[in-house]
Amino acid sequence: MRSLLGQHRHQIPWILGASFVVELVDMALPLLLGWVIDRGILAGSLTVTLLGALGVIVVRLFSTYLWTAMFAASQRARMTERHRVRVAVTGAVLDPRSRPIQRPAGEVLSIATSDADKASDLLDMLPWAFPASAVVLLSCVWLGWQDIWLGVATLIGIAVMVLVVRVISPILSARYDAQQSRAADAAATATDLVHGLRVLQGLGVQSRARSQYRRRSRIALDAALVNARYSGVSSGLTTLVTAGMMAAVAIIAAQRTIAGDMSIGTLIAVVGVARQNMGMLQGLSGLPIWWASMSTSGRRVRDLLADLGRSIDDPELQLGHLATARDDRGEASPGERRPGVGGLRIDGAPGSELEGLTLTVPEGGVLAVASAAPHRAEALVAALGGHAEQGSVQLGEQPVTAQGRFATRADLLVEPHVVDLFDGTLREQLATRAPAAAVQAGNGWADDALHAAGAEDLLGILPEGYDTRILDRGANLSGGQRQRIALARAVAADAPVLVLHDPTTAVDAVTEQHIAEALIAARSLPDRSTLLITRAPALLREAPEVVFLPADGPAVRGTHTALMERADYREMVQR
Amino acid sequence: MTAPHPADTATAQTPQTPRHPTRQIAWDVSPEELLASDATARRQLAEHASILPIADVPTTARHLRGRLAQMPWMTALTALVVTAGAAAAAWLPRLIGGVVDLVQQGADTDALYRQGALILLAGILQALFSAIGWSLVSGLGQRVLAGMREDVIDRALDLPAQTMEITGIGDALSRVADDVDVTARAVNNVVPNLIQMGFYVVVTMIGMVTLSPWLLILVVLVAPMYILAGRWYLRRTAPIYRRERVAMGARAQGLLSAIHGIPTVHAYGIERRETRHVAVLSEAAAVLGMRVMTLVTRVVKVVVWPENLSIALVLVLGYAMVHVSDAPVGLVTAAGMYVLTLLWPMMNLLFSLDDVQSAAASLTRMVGVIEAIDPASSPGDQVPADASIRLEQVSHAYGESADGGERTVLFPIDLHVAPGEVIALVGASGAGKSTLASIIAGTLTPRHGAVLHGGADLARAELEAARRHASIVSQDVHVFRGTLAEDLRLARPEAGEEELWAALERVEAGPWARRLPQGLHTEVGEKGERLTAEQSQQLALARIALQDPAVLVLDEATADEGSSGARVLERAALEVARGRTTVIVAHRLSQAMHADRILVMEGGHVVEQGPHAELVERGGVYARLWSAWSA
Repeated sequence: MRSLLGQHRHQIPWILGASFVVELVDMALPLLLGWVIDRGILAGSLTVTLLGALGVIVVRLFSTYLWTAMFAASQRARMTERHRVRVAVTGAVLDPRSRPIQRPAGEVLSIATSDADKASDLLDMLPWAFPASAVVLLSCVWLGWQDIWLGVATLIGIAVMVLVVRVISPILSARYDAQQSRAADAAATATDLVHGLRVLQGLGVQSRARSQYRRRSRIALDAALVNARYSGVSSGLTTLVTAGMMAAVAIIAAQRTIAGDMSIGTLIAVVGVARQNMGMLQGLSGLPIWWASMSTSGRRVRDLLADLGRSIDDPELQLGHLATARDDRGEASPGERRPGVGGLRIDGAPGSELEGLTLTVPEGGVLAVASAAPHRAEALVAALGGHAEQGSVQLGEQPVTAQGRFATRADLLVEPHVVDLFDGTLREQLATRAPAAAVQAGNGWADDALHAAGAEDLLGILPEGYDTRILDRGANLSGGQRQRIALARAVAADAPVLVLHDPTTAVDAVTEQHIAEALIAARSLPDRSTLLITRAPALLREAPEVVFLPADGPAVRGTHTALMERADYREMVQR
Repeated sequence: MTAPHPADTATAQTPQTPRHPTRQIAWDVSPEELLASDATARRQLAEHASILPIADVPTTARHLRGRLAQMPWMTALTALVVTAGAAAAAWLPRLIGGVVDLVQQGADTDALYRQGALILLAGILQALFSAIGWSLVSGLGQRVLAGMREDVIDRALDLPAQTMEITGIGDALSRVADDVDVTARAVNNVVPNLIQMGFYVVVTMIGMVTLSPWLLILVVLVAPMYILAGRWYLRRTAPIYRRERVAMGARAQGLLSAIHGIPTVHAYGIERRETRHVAVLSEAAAVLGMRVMTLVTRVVKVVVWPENLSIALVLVLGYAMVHVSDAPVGLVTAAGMYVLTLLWPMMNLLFSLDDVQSAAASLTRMVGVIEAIDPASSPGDQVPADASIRLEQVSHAYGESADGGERTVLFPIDLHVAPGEVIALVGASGAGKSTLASIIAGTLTPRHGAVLHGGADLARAELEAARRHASIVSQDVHVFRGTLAEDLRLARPEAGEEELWAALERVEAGPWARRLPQGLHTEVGEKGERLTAEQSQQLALARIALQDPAVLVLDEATADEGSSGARVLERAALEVARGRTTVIVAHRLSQAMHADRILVMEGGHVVEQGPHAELVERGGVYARLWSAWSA
């Protein structure tokens, strides 16, 4: 999992080195000040005082510039890792070759965003944690060298501080987590209520929703108040430990100074270093929690990728690859208009839902399949997705298999029944896979696709016509509009073989009739084949030929009018 | 958790993988260039549509003052405790200076121990006050925030649905979630620290000046430099943060919608395109984030000057104090301590400003919603007397068309629906069916005319009574977070489990609800079990069964009737509608034919109305539709 470090192994040594120098300079500043007070101010030498002041400036400038270089490099590495992990997770989740997983989208999102970010914080923590710890140890050694009791006092201070932190931090982080989860719960409730606003207003239960949110908000507030008390106690305790140690160090050092073993400058330096030490320790005390959250996040990323059957170092998931790789749909030059493939043939597998079914859609043909039982329609769609246990599928001479199904997508488009639209203008929606030459030639292709989907009225309704932005999942459209845009998108793709699964369930009878006529006319081209899996009478009537799949038993072929003679067919159609 | 050995990684990489992935982000490229190939991402980053109002800074400040004024004692106590804590902290350097003075005077051990005890006392006081102060400041902030977030939701829930269309919903969502979150984080981590730090810096500066007038020079010279650096920094980071946040939002949205739409993504073979869309936005966010980091390094390079200057000045002024005005060395020590202990808080303050700034921006957006939108209140006290509906000269128009006029979607109509009557609306998309349905249900206020529910004019009706009276179920389904029972109880909080099951059975949802792992107590919604569109709609109908409104409007409520073909929703809708005044927007004629009256709509007009048989006989629009349907 710590592929993170491997990626940046060239930079880490110098970053660590630079950081060490920076922390050392910070810690040594009181020493320098003490020396100047001794030799300059107390000794009455203006030159030494001025030179000392100048020295402080030079040393601090040097360390600051070193820090900025180090900081920029480590932040750059951290940002790169965040981005790399995020993109790799995204690529892996969306790649059809990955193992399918059943995790809620929200969880995947949080892994790709907050966990990717947290895991990459390693590159933020590392350059500081190790050098700072080293410098704290060094300062203890120096204090002990000045006076053994000073060293002992410091060590006791450190021990108490570590103890306090070890005791507090688990409690604190539990409180914090509790608060965060309550707050997240309240926030999620708020988002949820706004998402469901239409439903709430439809029911007229706004006031109930309001009191529901208020309850969650109050729970979150109570957790926050408890957390605030604990944070207060924690900050008070660390302050107390620091103060206790400062008192001890000051008294010990003062006695040594009175005894003449130490100069006043050294006294000042000792007190300064002790204080600096405590400050650093307070920072370092947060490390265990930080580390825990980082490694948890790292594990979550790794587990998700493992579930998908991928790893973070998968060459196909690297930034360079993903930035240039094209979608593999089995086309040599993307965006070309594909020639005909010789139609579609499906043979139901023996013993499956489709047993005894043989379907052929010739080039230039439109065939409708009406299935009385929904599971048989779904089995047909599954077979088209390469699930051989349901039946074998051939595009002309080419078989569609589970492994090879991605490479036939240029020639076979199976439009899912559930509509999904992605953020983009209406034109972009329609152009998702439309041949490039057509798209460049003007709006004709889009007009045709909208017409075929009975959706011309959208141009009048949408404020900016083709340039109107359609939000993700078509949030600014009605169900019927979404379904018709998806249908238009499928028609515009101009695939040699197009399969539509219940494309008109959300449209009204009038529009359905328009669609039936226009869609079948649009697809009746000599080198195009179309399979409609539907129960809509308008589509069935307009289709030149219908295959009826009864609830069980062999399929029957005929025209809609002829099949209407059958009672089971009639019952299915006249809903 | 072992780091891979370099050799392992090297062999794992294929030759075409670049050796230095670190170089793969184009740090110097502007986000615009990065997004050049992705029009959607560019648009997402360019549009920060704010449909809802944003308050200006004085209004926001006034609002916050108002909220604090509601808790005057706590506010005063907080200020007192924090000041006391800062004073105790500022006492410490003087006490240490005192130690140096004692040493110079060669004082005895007793005096030293007394001084040590004082240091400890200062520490205890500081610890005590900082503990109480932290929890007071944080508590105060959390209380203010809780009140605000509740008010924001309060207003958002009553926003008319039309406002929320198009980009409105995104804006509202970011107010109730992101803005609250940003502010909460600030209140949690930054504000207590910042306020204590701020008091500390001020008290310390006063302490320095009272220590020796010489140090006034230092404060006067250095403080303005910090203020200038801070302003320089804030002015540059604010817009970057804003854009970064937009990019992050778009990134999350892109990923979520791609995951939700995986079947479509795979069918069209656009998985790489969608990955790239997320990647481009992620890279833009990274580049913007790095710009902030670059600004951090620049401001640090600037701030190091006032820091250095103050250290050097303490030494030089110390020389002057000791040799010109005969001050004790302890005073110089105290001054040095002051400067050293100020360095870190100053830097801390500077970098906290980011969080404070973005929290402030979020506050203005929250206050904007609270102040600009009035809480919903009853327009009058009329109460519906029965289940009848009357529309008087009702018409409606949306927005303004290109030539400045309105786009009329519904022409004036009079309609009377008797209690218990079932009305069906039939017509093509865009004929005005949904508009009329929403007006009848009372969720859309028409531009002109009056809507009366049981004799009560909705424009003068008692709010809750009118809302309880009529419900509308549309194609928009939503399953609320929480358990199935909680979702259902939204419609009737006092319902017992028996009632819930009965409602589920009525809409034929019993079988699948029983199969859920924990029955009624199964977590549903975005976090829990994913229900199909059909099941979600059954749930919506079950809510109606529980709520039992007198008037029910079904706006294509059965359109999501999956591909199962079992007509479950249709049966459920009919079952739930039984005994109510019902308006059905029908998209299948089979739904319309059993209605008491059918209204055929075309272009915003009702062109025919009457029962099924009569309309078929008349040979008009409906008859033509019917013959095409039943052929």
